Amino acid sequence: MATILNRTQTFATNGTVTAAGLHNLIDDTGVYAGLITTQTELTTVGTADQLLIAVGGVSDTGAPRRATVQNLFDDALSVGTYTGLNLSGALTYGTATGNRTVSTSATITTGTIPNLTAGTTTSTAATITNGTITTALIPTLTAGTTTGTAGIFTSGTIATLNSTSGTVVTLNSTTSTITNLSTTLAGDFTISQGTATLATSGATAGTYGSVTAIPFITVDAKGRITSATTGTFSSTPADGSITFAKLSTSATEADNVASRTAKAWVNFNGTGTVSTTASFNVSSITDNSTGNFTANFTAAMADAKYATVITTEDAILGGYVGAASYLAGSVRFRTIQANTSTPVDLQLNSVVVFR
Amino acid sequence: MNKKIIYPTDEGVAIITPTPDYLLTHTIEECAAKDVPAGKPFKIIDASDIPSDRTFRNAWEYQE
Repeated sequence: MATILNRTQTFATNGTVTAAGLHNLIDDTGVYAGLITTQTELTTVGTADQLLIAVGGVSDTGAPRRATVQNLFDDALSVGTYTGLNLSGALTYGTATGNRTVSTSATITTGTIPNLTAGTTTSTAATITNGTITTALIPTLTAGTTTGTAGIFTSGTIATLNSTSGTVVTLNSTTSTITNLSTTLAGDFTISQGTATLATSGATAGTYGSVTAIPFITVDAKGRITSATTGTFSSTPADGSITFAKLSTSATEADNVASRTAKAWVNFNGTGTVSTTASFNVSSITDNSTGNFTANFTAAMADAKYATVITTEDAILGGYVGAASYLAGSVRFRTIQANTSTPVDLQLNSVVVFR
Repeated sequence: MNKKIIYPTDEGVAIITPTPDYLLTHTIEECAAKDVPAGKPFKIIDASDIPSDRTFRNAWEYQE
């Protein structure tokens, strides 16, 4: 036998072996040509079918040998886990008549999938544990059902999350960081490129108030200070700022200041032409007769239930005139010589009224 | 000019001397309106018209 096999016949790796191809392979053989040509042409070849292969010699060692179709596809690729896998083309799921299936549950642990297109699958959801999805689109991310496990990105990176209507219902993270989150929020708080910013309130940053300036602060309904200024403050009341009317006049206050302060007083000379030396809340002195005077109050007392202190010179006494002498607007009194009880005009006369 | 207010009484005449403090913020007319008993006629006169000798003070009378 000059020729055992047609060496020009080739088979594509993992390709389909047809009957015509087998004929071409061995048509030239002198021993088996007649036998083969009488065989029915096969239209399909299964992995259990066998091929006869012979070498070019005529010795016993050149006898045809058999090999199963299955062994032709034995390229040492088996089910397992492959690390560092890079897919540059299409990865096609095998069919019954063509492409073969390496595994129905392959796991890519650190490989790169350059262009992942989502589709429909009836199999178990794939899990990407540490990979990077660079340009893929996930049209709909659906949480798992009660019988499945929700899709969770445990340690991966989502470079850009574009969404106009999507919602991240719950974001759980203990160590991960969203580094450049930009979002539009209603209200006074914004987040841009990972930086949160409070809207300005209108107040100028600074320190307000000192020992001589008190702060004036405006607060809005949200508790924000919207305005802050200062005003002059003095620990010493200005002259005239505290008047008798501003003293406490509470009827129930134990330390009523106004009650301990004279509401009116006058020092006058009752001799000659009556003249006033000094006074407070006394508008005038009425000279009624000898040793008989009336102190008229500028601001009347609340009532006639006040107390008076009336003094004159040395042994001379100032005295009460009668029930009609104590009026809310005035008090009438006499200056009397003690040893004779005779009214007398004197130089030093003092009247003090408390209420 | 130092002024005083006079008005008649049952005892003769009463003489009102406004205090200097009161006159800082009020007029003598206001003093008269407040301190002369209601219904009493009164006059505003110079202080110099009042006798300085009060020996017969109770004998002084008010003249219209």
